[in-house]
Amino acid sequence: MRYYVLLLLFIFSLLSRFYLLNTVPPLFDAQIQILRLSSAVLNILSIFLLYIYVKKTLNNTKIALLSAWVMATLPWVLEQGRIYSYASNSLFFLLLFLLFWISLNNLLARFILLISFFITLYFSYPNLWIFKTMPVLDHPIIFINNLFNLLSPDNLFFRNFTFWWGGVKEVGVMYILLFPFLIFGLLEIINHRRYKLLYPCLFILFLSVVSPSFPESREFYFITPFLALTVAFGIYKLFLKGIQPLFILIFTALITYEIIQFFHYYYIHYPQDIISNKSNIKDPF
Amino acid sequence: MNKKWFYLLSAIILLASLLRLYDLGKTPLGLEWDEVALGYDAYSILKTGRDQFGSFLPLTFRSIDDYKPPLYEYVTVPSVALFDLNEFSTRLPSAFAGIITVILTALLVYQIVLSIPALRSNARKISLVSSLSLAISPWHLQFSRAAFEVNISVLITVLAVTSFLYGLKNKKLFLLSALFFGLNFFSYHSARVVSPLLMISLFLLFHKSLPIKKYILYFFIIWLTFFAGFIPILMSKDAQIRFSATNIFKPGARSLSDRDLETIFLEKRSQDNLAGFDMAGKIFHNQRLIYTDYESLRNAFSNYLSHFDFNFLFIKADAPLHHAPGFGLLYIVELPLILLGLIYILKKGLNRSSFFILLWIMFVPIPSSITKGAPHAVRTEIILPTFQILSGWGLILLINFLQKESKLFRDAGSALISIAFLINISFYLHQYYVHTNYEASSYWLHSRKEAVEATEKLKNQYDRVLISPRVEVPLDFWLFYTKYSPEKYLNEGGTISGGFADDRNHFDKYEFKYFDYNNLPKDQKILLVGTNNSLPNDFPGLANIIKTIYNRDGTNALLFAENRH
Repeated sequence: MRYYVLLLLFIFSLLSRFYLLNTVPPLFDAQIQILRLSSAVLNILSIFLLYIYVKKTLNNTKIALLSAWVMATLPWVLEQGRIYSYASNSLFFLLLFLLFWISLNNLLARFILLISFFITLYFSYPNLWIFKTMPVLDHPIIFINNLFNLLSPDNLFFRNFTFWWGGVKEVGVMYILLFPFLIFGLLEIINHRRYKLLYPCLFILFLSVVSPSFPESREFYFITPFLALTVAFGIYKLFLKGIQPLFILIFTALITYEIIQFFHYYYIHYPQDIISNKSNIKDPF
Repeated sequence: MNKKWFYLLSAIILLASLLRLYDLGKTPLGLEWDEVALGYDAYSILKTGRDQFGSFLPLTFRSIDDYKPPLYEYVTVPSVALFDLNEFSTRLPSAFAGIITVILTALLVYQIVLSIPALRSNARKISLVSSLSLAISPWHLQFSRAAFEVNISVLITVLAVTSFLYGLKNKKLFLLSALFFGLNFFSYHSARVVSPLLMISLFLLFHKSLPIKKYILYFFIIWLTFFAGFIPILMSKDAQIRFSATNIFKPGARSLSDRDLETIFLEKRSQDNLAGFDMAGKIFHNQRLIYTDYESLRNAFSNYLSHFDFNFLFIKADAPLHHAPGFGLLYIVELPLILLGLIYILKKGLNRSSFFILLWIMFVPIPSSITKGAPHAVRTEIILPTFQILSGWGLILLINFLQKESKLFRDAGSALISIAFLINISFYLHQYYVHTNYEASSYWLHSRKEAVEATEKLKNQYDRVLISPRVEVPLDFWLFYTKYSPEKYLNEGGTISGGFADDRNHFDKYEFKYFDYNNLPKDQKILLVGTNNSLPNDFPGLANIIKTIYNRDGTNALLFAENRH
């Protein structure tokens, strides 16, 4: 059964990443074409890496499948998978690193892995601020403010600060319908003391909050697999453990509508918005 | 209730009274336009039984054309009768309601905590901490020290819920809660939605503990009596004006910068047509489905969640009138306590009482989320004292945790928490009591009082006094500060319209109308009051300016000029 689901996910990912790849978003530099292709491939691989990572960590195939499904459909992940994006490519290496990390028990091996990861990150994401400059941290209140700003519902569901690098203005990081599952998943993770699952988030959040380019912290993109995992936890606990099939049906209908609406905005409105703002785009994607 | 609890609560009440009554008429300095309208209507009711429009004991006050619920006006009547018409008497009902709410919070929390086994032994402590937290709350203090109807609504809501919970064992209190739930229809707009939701939740959650059916019947008879009084308001076109002017689906003209959904839809539809996807446009951007449209609902949900935004709650709130300069609505030190209280309740203390508190928090932003200007501190003040209850739980849990630790750790932890609270609270009090009158003086419109006093001194030297409507809602300021006799005013015709741009109102020598400085009659001596802060300016560069009134922050507020005669 899980292989059918994985196959379906693969087909969905393939179609959603490669369909009209060279025209949506409009391509302003022909050299980017091949880079978009590599981004799409790494993006699809990241989805399956997440599946393996969650399966190995939780030993639960259903949550792993759900995480991969959420990751594959998240608007932000989809948008970044269709452009030349350092953040999206580096996410693949981050997930690979995490997978090796949980497989290794030897301290020295882990240390070497960590060094290797940072070296890889240096090459895959040369613009990452930690390799170039110092963090911006004037006041502790600003730190907390930035943190809540990034995690605000506005940022997660309604506003997209990535318009200038591949994002649809009207849709945030994830679909609104996933909101209750995100909250429930978070509570479940706390309840079951699975804090370890979210440890990498602390590092990612710190990286994003003190980023010199805040509020446009591209590093925040690294949080997406963990958001997918948390939502999957929520869906698993709410739906697959005792909720009426009617709710599942309603949820499926609504999420399908939301995904279709996102594609509508992405394939019809976004290219027109981008073309009318062409003169303001500094770096082609 | 033991003696120690009683003495401590008395000390909290004393503190709450001090913080609410000290310098009440002077901080914030000056009344804003809703306050003067409320005050003058109360004065008019006291003297004539009619509001400034001449309506006899109205159930909706037209006021500045925003059709206010009537409760605040009526409770201000005794205050104006006792202390005359001034800033203090207009704000006193709000301050008084604030003090009573602090007392009731202690009783409410005590009853709720008693029903949570994990916290029961700390019921008295938690009730005191929550009450204290409300007594010093920036959010509650802000609206207890100004004439905001919502502060009365907070009191009525807490009264209704407290009497309902105590009423489960006392039938008289149970019936009293029906009276308060009913009265809330007349206290504030958002309470008209939230209060019935809270009442229904209480009935559903406590249906097994309700008194016998006879009392439930009496309860609904009382409540329905009030509801029957509310129906004409609900159905009237005039009262619905406020909703149509503020709802996000059909934005009114007040905020011209807002792009309404219909315009957005039309833009998107034309993009769809251009791309050859007419049908998709009909599905996703259909203005006929504006109330059920996904985009509209998304906006509403975004507004809803914005009320829990960190920036809104802890850093800068919303409009300058709604918070102390440089301060949010809650203390930032409360944040970890609120989260701690919330997590603890969800994990170990979730029962019908604590679940009701969570529902209370969830219901309050609903009306505000379908209106423009969200998040809105006034429309959601009835969320109080839920945050204080959560922080009270959090603080006691933290103290209990520290008490189990070593002495050094305990003392260091307690010292750290106390210092953090002291710094945060004293900074707030400094910002509010010192800086409000300077940094927010232009918003609290103190300049209007000075202008009225000046025109009263000067008016005898002139044939007419023209006041520009660009001096935002000038009529009520001049009526209020001149204490113009309501009998005389109504005999002269009363208010024609309270709208921002209306230029038909007049009394005594005062006429509230637009003027063209270069085309004024030269055979009369006219005093002009206007402003050059809003476009178009009232006065050209060569106008004969005779006086300038400044805000406390040094900015230019109002200008006085003479015509060329």
